[in-house]
Amino acid sequence: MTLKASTRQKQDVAQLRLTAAELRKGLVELTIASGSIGGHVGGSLSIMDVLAALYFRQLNIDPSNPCWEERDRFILSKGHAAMGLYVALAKAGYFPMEELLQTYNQLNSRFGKHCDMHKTPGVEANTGSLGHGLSLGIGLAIAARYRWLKYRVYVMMGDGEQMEGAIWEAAMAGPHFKLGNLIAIVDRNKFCIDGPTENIMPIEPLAAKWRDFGWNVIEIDGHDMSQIVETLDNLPPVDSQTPTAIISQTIKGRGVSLWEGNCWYHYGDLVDEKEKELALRDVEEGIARAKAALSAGSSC
Amino acid sequence: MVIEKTLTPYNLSEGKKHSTRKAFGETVLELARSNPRLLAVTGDLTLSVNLTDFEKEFPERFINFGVAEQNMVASAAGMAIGGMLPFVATFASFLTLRSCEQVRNDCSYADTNVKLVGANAGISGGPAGPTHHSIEDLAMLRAMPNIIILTPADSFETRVMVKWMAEQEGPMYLRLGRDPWPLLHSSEEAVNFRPGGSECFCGGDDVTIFAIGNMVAEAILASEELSKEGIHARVVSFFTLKPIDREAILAAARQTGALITIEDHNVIGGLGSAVAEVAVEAGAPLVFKRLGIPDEFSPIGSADDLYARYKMDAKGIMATVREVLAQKQ
Repeated sequence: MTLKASTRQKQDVAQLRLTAAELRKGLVELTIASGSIGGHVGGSLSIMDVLAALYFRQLNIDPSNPCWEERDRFILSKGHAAMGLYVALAKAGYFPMEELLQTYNQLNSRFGKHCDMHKTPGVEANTGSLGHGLSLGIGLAIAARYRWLKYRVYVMMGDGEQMEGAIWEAAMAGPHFKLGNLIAIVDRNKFCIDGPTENIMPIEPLAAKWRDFGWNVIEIDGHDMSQIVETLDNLPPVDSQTPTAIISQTIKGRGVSLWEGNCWYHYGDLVDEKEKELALRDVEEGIARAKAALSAGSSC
Repeated sequence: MVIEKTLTPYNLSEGKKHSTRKAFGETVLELARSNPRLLAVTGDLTLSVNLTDFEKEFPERFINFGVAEQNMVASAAGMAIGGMLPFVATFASFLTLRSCEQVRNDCSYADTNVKLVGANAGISGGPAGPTHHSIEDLAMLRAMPNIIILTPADSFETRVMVKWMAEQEGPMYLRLGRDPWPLLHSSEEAVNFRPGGSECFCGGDDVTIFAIGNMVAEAILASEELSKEGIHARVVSFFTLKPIDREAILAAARQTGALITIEDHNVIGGLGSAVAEVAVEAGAPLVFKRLGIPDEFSPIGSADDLYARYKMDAKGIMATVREVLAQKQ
């Protein structure tokens, strides 16, 4: 079977930087819209650059046809970052941003705090409790092999999630079942809820662990768009035999100075007028910088 | 009144027995021959769930996850999302306890087409002990939306149910035993399976015994013996514990006024609770008694010795019927 490619335009590095900046603004707006309920802002902002590269360049998807059989699958195993994913999905065209802003967390909304594939177009699995996504991804990758479908399965995990035992059951199984169509991404933003991962339950040396379990391991700066793109552009072929683990070094709360690198903003809101103003200023400045770089023709 | 023609014929006199685990393995292999999407999945218990022949005939569609049930169940959900039909079989205890959250989130909540098959359910593992017993599975899974719980009473029912599971979308749990169980039916064709239905093996208006799984044969034997004393005990077996046959419960409550439940499970949360919920909510005046494991971990012993200890054999059921009838009067 030949691989049908989506006809979507692939953004280049400079465009992706602007897209990521716009996603961050979208997240701030969604946080403001959710009022005192707030959301998982820290871990959503840390994944925005990788999400931009995935949804606006890498993934073979068709947002107008979310159930297209040959599409690539993205599972947000760190399902608490759903609000970040929703913003990316809305911008990609799966549903209107207005609906997201108006209904997030409301009664009968399609958008709750964690991922539900039956409610939200573009969401591929129900996640929220940690340690499930990689196994779900293994199953989807196995199904692709049986059905001669050439899609890849991308699973984004948290670094706190690496403490879950089920992750390591799945880590054993991926190489054993020769799933070169499976890409695990660890968002290494250094914090779980109660503090730095290395204080709560150390997970390092993380890359060595994945390598020892038999994965093709790539370590990147998860905020360096050119590195992200280069890595995703050069993944092993879909029909290869070894799954890939990308350790993406990131900063929790990236792009909003109030929250950046501050573990106490695993969860946060923007009710305070001053904080609201500061957060909006940060993300708008991010957009301005990306636009300036884009118009200057810079791609570095 | 149970009209004789609505009774399900059975034959225990020849003493024929067959393992439900074996019936599962045989049937799933037959189905795989015509359904290329069917996968057999286990966790290092291939022989115990009778998938050895499946592995030989379809090695490419047999997936062994090793001793890692959480990953096995969630991966099976992924396979189902990806369009495959996974039958996941291992001991009921490991399947529902170790992987409980995977069953709940990835099968029940995600409403995926995963067929869970728990062998050695209840205390059928005997001296293997409480780590290998499964006396909570029905209580846990009954509280999980979407999952259909199938409780076959013999191998022919098991065969019919496995075929139905393969045709029907959605998460399901099939509960099997360990040792061979008496064959109640004469063939698959004799099984009039209806999800949400029940079958009445013995008529009677003095008391109703609701039974599931391996306890059905014991209830029938008890009813046969009691009839010699002039006590007429109705015996009803549920094909599915969830959904449950409400009509059968309400009719029995109305017509017999005395209900006994018997299950190879903790008396909390399983069949007894399910029957009580229906009867009590309907306001039926009745005498009620649950038989099963009395909320304790069993001592060491063979399954038969343990069943006798807990009055879960024909003799114990008969004694309980007499108690209940005394109470009724």
